Amino acid sequence: MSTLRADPAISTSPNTAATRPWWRRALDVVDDRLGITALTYPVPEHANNIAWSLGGITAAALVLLVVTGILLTQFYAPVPEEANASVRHIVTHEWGMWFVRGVHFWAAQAMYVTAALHLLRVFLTGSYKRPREGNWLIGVAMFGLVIFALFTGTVLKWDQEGYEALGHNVEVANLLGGGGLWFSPDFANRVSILIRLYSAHVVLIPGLIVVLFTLHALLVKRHRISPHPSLTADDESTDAPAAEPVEPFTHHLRRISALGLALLGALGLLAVTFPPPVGPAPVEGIEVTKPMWPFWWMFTLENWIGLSGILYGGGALFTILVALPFIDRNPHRAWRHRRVAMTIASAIVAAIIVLTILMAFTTAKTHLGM
Amino acid sequence: MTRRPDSRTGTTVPIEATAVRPGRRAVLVVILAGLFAVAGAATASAHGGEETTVGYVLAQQALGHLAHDTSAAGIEVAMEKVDDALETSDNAGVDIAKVQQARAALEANQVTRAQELLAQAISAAVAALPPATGMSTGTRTIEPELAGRPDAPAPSWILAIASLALLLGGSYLAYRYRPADTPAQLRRRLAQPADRDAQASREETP
Repeated sequence: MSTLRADPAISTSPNTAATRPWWRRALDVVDDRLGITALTYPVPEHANNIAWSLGGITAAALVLLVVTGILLTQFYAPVPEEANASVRHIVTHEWGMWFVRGVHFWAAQAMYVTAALHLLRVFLTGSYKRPREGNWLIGVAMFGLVIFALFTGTVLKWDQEGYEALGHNVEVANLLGGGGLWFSPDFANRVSILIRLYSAHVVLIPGLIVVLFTLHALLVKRHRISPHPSLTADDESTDAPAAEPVEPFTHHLRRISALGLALLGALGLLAVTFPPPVGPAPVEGIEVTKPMWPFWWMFTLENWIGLSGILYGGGALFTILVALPFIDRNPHRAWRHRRVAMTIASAIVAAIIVLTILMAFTTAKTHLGM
Repeated sequence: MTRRPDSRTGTTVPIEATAVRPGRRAVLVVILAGLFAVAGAATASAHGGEETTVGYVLAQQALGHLAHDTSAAGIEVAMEKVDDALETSDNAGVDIAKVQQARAALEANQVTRAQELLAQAISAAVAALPPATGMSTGTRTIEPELAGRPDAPAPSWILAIASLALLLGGSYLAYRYRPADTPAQLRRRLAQPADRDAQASREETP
């Protein structure tokens, strides 16, 4: 039988109402109207481990990105003639905004890393298997959106690096024919593509992420927290063992909030120590920069086989991620019993790491317009 | 239903659970067909493109190279662009005399002077540009890379200390709110009742 460790901060016992401090009574008044105590539903204890909190940490990074992003949009001018200069103005003239920009820059990379680690954890523990295949697909879609947000954010600073990234994207979109039309400057030739990518970065992508995150969270609630394979006698089980202790979900939120605070501190230190510079305004027809490190592995492929390497590499990764729950029919969740899946995943992760390291030691090459 | 032995549990499981069903095979075929279609499109259209002959753009390219690399290699590439700008017939709004002076400055390794001259040479051309649409850069001036924070060190120290406090405070709270058991402790704990049950069962067996 599961044992629920009660949350002392939330108690609605009428016997003690008279002795409760005013702020708890005030919380009760709010709770009567908003039903906050519904969040105290039980979750298995292993859900509070760091590995099972990676999705929550990713959400904390998203919150930081939204807050810092809202501040940055107050001073950013999303038109080609002004964009680079406005970023320089943000750094040099608006009080403290260089720090906000630094936190935004590092939070974006933190979100990418924690989302990737979360995806990896879900894979390693077989949490994408029945009945959670749909939620895996939602997670993969959100991961794609995180990468798209990183890309559009790179373009917005409108320096040579961002412009070259955009150039690559447009060329890859051309390779896709009609499928890449939205990225083509011809899609709306009276408007700068920078303005369209700005709208995607501040409205479309975060909006889609929030919608998908809501679905993701509702499905986690619907299917319950996935079992820890090493804690179940039967690693094909879809639920945590009944004997595992449980805690209120609010404990999970509390720990994620604490980890979010630590994340903000770490990002602040990075922003102070390694503030992101602003590159020179872009010039068409030259390639002199490297992209952000999350894209390095694809650009090594590009150096080897041309622009289509980006398309093949990125397309193959996401095809495998999407197809995974339909291809992998092994019912076991423990990694020891999933040799084929583990071997393939290890090979993919090793390839991405090696390709990334190789890019670190190569110089920028010209591919656009070739 | 056909069953296969499971080496781990010593029992048998239905073969249907592991075999590829016709419906899933169809999904795989569709995915592979999509990949081949994309590959075909990529192979078919991965060509084209040519270097610009517009004078002010060539001068901007020289400025772009110099903004990122002022070494001998960077100067050499910039010089090639300057030469192209001098040779092209499409030089509306470009002050050719200043481009020639910029070339001479580059030959003398005077990068800053060359940058100033090139910027002056194309000032009329970029001033006449229409509002940027599509992929146009809209670039009027090319300034060197800017450091990501202002020079004043005092706010940086305050922000660094505040960030460190958040990092330590958050880490402390995360530690304090950690789960009561580690996965290893949970494993032992969950194993105990089963062991007890197994022992009781053994004791009850005559």
